[in-house]
Amino acid sequence: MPRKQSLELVQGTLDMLVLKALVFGPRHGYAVARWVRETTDGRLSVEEGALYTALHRLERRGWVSSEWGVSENNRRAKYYSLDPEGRRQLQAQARTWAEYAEAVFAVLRAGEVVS
Amino acid sequence: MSLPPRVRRLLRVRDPARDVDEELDFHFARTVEDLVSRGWSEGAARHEAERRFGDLAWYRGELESIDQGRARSERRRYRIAAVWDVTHHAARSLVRSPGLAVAVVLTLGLGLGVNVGMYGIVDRLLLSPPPHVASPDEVRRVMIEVGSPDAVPTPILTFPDFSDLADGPGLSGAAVWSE
Repeated sequence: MPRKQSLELVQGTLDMLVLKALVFGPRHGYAVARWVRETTDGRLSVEEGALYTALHRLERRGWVSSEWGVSENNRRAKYYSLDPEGRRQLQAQARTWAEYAEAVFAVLRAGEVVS
Repeated sequence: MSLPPRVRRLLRVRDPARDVDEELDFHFARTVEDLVSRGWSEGAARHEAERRFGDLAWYRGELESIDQGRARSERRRYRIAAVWDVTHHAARSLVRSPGLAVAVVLTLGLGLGVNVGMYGIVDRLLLSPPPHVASPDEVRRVMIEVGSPDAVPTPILTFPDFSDLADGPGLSGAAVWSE
């Protein structure tokens, strides 16, 4: 059986992943990284450093905000939460992404030569 | 010295570099902890955490520069808001007490007017050359010494002396005043 291949992240999807990770409530960077890793089963190759830069960029843009809090094992950690604008952006991007994927699938399925 | 909390909050500057350090320390500590609890050795876990993160020095620089940019724009926003606040407050209090507004406008108006008037007078008398004089640079005040060389020079002279001076060579014109 071939090894599961790790997929390079398509440009622009990083922000979407990070925003989605925050939909369930405030999370610190470690939890975001872990959630992405577990949800994708480690198939996406994304450096955790890139997740952090995405978080900080989104904060600068006003889509997420951060606050220092106390973690589950009593340490100071920076928690990020989704702002209304971030939520709107996530919805918009997810819609675009789905339409894009559907269009690509439609092309690939045309004629059904390949299974 | 202890400042009121409101003032302290305004003055508090969060150091972006320290925040980034603390955030990343937490990240690495948690990752290593997690891996160790799954049976990794401390060293291997540390190594794996670094591998997953990517180029730490580079990312650290990125994070700091993003945060510094954010801090700058926050400061700018805060200053604009502060100026707007003060202007707004001033306008509202003027509208609330028109009597005071009139008094303030009159005081300022008179003060400015008197000031400008004084400047005009001083300028006319002391600073700018008199009008109708072709070359003010060449105008001289003539003092004469009467008697011995160590007599005190004086601008006071008799009319005949003045006539001699005015008709003599060296002056293109002369004028006197009497008191």
